[in-house]
Amino acid sequence: MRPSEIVDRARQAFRDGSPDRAVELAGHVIARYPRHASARLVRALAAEAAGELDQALEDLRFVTSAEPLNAPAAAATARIFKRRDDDARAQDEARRVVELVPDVADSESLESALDILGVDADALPMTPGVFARIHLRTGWPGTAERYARRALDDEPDRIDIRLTLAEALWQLNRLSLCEEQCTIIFDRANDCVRAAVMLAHVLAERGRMAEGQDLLGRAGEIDPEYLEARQMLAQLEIHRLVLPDAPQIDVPTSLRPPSETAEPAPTPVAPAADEPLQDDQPGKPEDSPTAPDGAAFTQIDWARELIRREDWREAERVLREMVEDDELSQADVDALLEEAAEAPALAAVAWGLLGDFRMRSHRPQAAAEAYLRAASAQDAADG
Amino acid sequence: MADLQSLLANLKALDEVDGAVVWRAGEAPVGNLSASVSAVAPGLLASGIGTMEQVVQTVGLGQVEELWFLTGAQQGLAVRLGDWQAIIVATLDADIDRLRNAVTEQLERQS
Repeated sequence: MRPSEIVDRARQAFRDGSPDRAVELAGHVIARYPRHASARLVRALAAEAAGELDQALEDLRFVTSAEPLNAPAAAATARIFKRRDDDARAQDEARRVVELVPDVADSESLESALDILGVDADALPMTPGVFARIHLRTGWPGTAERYARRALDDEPDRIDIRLTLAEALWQLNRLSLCEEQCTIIFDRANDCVRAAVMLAHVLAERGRMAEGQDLLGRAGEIDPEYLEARQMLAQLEIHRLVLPDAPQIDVPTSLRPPSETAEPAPTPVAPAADEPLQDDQPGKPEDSPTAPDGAAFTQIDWARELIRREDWREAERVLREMVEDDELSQADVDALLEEAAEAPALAAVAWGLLGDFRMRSHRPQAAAEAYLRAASAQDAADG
Repeated sequence: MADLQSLLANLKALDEVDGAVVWRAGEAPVGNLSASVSAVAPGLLASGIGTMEQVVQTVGLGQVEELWFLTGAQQGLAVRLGDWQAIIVATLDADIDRLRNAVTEQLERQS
């Protein structure tokens, strides 16, 4: 099982009121990856709930250093300062949480921050930092850069804003300036994954591949599946970094839910590659189990599941469909095909499909790169 | 897809043509090239021509309408007509002017 799937289960156990089970599951991941940020966050939340505030703060310090934009970590830190009657620091952290809008997807973090600040959401001021984040997320890195610089004039120590500035510069391909900002970020938050990914890319672009890969490897200690790196690098037309395969961890029987230790449920039978899927046929995403976070399976989740099951024939069929689906997000399809290409059995097909997809989305230069990789993968497969 | 396949067949059927690749803007290329070249050759040729077009356009020289290349064994011609593009690979002694007219005529029928 992938580490992130175990952490999803830990998170769910914590939500379901089983903090001990959550700590066991998170601990299982931490034993293998001591710097796994998501697992450390679950352990911190459980410690906070148990009143072990020092232990919780220690984990939270690491998580916020690795992921300065992590709103649940900032919200938990604010709550702990509040419990210790350190109102000034609690309010600083709470302000940071509300400024992470629109990254704050979980209303729980936002609500606890608003509670500490004693204001309603309507009363929140729109600061330059908020504007910077909104512009960055909506594809206006130039404007984001201006707002981020203005925000940093007032609060130069805010790592989250500096990270927004660095990402804006990265998206604008102003790599030297981005590197400067990443260096400052590392001085204060030397585990920052996003800064490490950007800096690794900058180094690789300058021909310092080994140093770039090494830095990326450091980020991999915190995010061993390179989920953030994949998401960030998928925005680029071309990059030279190599993302390792997602690791798997065995889960002991004692940590598995009863449903998994009982008789296994029959696996849906995938239809033949040339057989069209019917709505009521097993194998159709709608009939598939729910995703780990409880959301409905998307076509992308289904493709990932097929790759995980090593059902190469069906995975290839689904990937081909996705390449021709204009409704899907370009970044998602790029990232999925790059993931698929990491499986040797799918590499040549996935790179070729990525080439086709990039041609369809008017990116011939990036397509050429993918086709070249397809040719190399095919050569390797042919021995 | 049917249009692409029939256009491809027509181009491949031209005298002295060894192989062809066709695509429409926003679609993946399809090709019929010699079995001795890589399976991704149609994609590579199309994306290579597309990259060259972008380069020429970026430096302000306008949009490429034709590109011709010559190797020790073959000659190739890429032609764009509106959204349609084609590349043919022909023998060294092929009459490239005749082929240019034939390819353009085929693309005009699609437009």
